[in-house]
Amino acid sequence: MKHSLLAAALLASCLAAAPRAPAVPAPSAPSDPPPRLAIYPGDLTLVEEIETVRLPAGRTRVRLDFVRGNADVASLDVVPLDHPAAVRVVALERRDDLPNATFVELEADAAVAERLRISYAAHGLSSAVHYLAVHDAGARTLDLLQGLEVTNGSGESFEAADVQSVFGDVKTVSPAAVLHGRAPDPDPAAPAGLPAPPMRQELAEHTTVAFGESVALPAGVTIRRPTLAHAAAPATIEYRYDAAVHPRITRVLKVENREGAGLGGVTLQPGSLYLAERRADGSERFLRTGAVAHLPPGKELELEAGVASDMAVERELLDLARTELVFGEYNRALVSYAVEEGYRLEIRNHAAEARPLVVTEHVAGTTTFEVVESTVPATRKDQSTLQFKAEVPAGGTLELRYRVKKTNVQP
Amino acid sequence: MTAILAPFALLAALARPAAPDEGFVELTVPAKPDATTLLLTSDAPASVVETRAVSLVRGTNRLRFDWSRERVDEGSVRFDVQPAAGTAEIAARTKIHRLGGMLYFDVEASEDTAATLATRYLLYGVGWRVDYVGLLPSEGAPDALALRLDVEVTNNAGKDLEDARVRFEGGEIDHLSLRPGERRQVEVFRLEGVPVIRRYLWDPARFGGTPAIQLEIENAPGGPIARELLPAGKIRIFAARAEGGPALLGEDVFPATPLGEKAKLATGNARDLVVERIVLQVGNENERRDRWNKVVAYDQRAKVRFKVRNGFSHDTTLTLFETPGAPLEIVSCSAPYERKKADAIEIQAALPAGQETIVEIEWLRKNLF
Repeated sequence: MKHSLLAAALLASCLAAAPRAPAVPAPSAPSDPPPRLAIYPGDLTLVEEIETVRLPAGRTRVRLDFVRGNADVASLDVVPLDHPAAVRVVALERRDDLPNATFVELEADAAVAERLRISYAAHGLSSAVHYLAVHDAGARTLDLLQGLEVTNGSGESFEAADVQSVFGDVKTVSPAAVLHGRAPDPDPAAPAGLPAPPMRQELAEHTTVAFGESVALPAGVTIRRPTLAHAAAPATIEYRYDAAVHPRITRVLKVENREGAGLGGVTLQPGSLYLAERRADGSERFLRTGAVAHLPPGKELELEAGVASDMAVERELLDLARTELVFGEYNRALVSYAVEEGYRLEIRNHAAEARPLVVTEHVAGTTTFEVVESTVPATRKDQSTLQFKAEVPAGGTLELRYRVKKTNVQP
Repeated sequence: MTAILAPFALLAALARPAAPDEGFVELTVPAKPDATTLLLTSDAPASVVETRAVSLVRGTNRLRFDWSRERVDEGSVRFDVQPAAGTAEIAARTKIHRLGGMLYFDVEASEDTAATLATRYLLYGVGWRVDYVGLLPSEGAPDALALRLDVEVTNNAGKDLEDARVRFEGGEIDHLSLRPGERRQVEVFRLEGVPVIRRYLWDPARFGGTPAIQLEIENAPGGPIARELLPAGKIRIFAARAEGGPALLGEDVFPATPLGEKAKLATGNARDLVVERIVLQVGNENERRDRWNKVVAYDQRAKVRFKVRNGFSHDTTLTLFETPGAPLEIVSCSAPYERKKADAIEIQAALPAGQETIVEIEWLRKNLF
C-alpha cells in the first residue's frame, strides 16, 4: 500500500494449494484516491483506502499488517471494486501470534489488476466544530463562522486525506457482544475464540461536515478550516427577565434558520462558541465563550449575550394575604387555604430605543392559581409559570403589577 | 529570536519565494505591533487586538503566531486580514503540538498586496480595579461632592504592554506601557459638584442597631457624571475640615451603575441618632383550634414604639425599617410610612434637633399557622 493510516503493509503470498504468482500492489496506481477519513464522535474513525493489486488466477492470500495508528483489526473490510463477479474475498484470517495482521484470501477467475476498497476503524483522530459569532448591534446582524478542526493523534501521518466529520448519535457495538458459542471475554487482550464480525454501525440521522479538499495531516497536528460562513444574517435581540435564572435582564440573540431567511435552513453541529459584539466604532467586545447545541433546519438559533447593562429591574412582593381557610369537618385541622400575592416589577430602560421584554414568573407552592389582576397580559406557559410580554419604552420605565391567587394551598 | 526577546511575537522574516513542494510562502511580520488595544471587562479575560502592516504575496501565505510565556487563550486566537487590493482569506489554521504555543495561519491572497493584519485573542493575567474618592466640601454642606475615579491596571500576563490603548467599562487610557509584573494607577476623571443625597437609615438587619449614613449618587443623563457605566469599585468618602486635611467618613463598595441608575453607599453610622425599639404588645387573637384544642390558625396583633433621640444640632429625618413578616396589615402608625414589600414597612420619622421623638406602630398579621 502506498499509504495507510496504520502503515498497513500489503504483502502477498501464494496459498499452498494454489501455487501461482503472488499478488502485488500495482507498481503504478497514480489514480488511487487519497484515503478517506470519516471521523465520528467518541474516538472512532472509519478509514477507507483504495488500493490496486494485481491478482493471479485462482486463490491468493494477501497479508495486511497494521503497524501503527491504533487500528481496530477486527473491523477490517475488503471489497473488490472493479470485477466483483470475478474477484471474491473468500475469507479473512487472523492468528493469535500475529495480532496486528489479517490475511485476506482472494479468489480471482483470471489474472487481473483489481482495486480493493480497504476500510477499517481507527482511533486517535478527532474533530471538533468551533463557532465564531460576531453580533453587530448597530446593523442588527450576526456574522457566524464555523470552523472544523481535525486533530491527528493516531501516530500515523497522512500525506493527503479526504476528511469529513460525522455528527450525530452513532451507536457502536462491541464485537465481543455478538460472539456466539461462548460468553463475551471480559479481557480485551485475550485471544478471541471466533473471528469477530466487522464493526457494525447504526447511523441514524447523522450529519457530516466536509473538510474540503485533500489535506496533509501529519501526526501530532491540528488543522482548522472554515466550513461555513454567514455574513450579516439578520438578528434580533430579545430581552428576558427571569428572577429564578438571573437577577438582571439578559439578552438573547435570535437568528432565523429557515430556507431563504437568516442562516438558510442549515444544520449546525454542536461545538464551542466564541461570541463577540461589534460596536458602532468598529471595535469588538468579547461577550462570552460557550457552546452551540445541535441546531436542526427550521429552528431558530438562540445565543445568550449577557446582561443588558442599560436596563434595570426591581422586583418586590408588595402584598400577601391568606384567605379561604378550610378546616376538616372531623378534626377541625387546617386543610387548605388560599393566598393572594401582589407583585410589582419596575423595569427601567436607559437605552434610546424601546425594547421588547419577556418576563417569566414562577408561581411556587401550588399548581392551582389564577391571575386576578395584571397590568400586562399574562400567558400561562405551563402549570406553574407565567409569561409577560411587553415593550419597555425608550428612556422610560415599565411598571408590571400583577396579582395572583393561589387556591388549595396545603399548610 | 524575537520569540525569546519578545515572547509574544508574530515571527518576523521577510517573505521568501514559494518552494515548489511547499506551495506556500512563510511570511514574517513585525514582532512589534503597530497598535495594541486591550478591552477589559469585569467578568472576562482581557480582549486584545493588535494590528500590523504586512505584505502578502499572491497565493498561500503562511503566518506564524508565537507565544511562549504569555497567558494566551489559544482557542480565541484569530486573524483578520484587510488587503489593500484584491482579496485575502484565512484558509486554515494549523497547530503543531510538539511546538507548543504556536499557530500557523494560511492566508490566501489573490494578488501581491499590502495588508493590515489584526490579531485578536484573549489574554489572561491583566487585572484591573477602580477606586473612587469622594470629597465632601465640609460635613455641614453635604449636597455635592467631588468625585474622582482612578483605575489600576496590573500586568501578570507575561507580555510587554507598550503604548497600548486600554479600554474598560467606564473609561479608557490612551497610552499605557506596562511590563510584566508591573501595575500602574492613573486617574480617569475628576468631577466637581456631583449631587449627593444623604439619608439616615435604621435597619438592624443590614446595619446593626445604630442608624447608618447612606449617600446616594445618581449617574444621571445630563448630570455631571453622565457616563455609560460606572464600574464597580471601592469608594472612600472624605469631608473637608476647617482645621486641616480631609477626614475619612467611610468606605463602601460603589456598585456598577449604568447611566440613569443610582448608587447607594453606606459609609458608616450616625451615633448621635439613638433608636430604642420597645415592643409594647404582641398577642394572638381569633384563634382557631382543632378537635384536640390545639391552635391551628390565629391572627397576631403587635404594637411597637420607637424612641428616637436626635443629637444633631439640625433637624433631620430617619428612615426606620420594620420587618414583621407577611401577611401584614398596618393598623396605625404615628408617622408617615410606606410599604415597599409585603413583609416590611419604612417609616419616615421627622426628628427635630436635639429632641426625642416617639413613633408608634400597630400591625395585624392574619391567618398565621
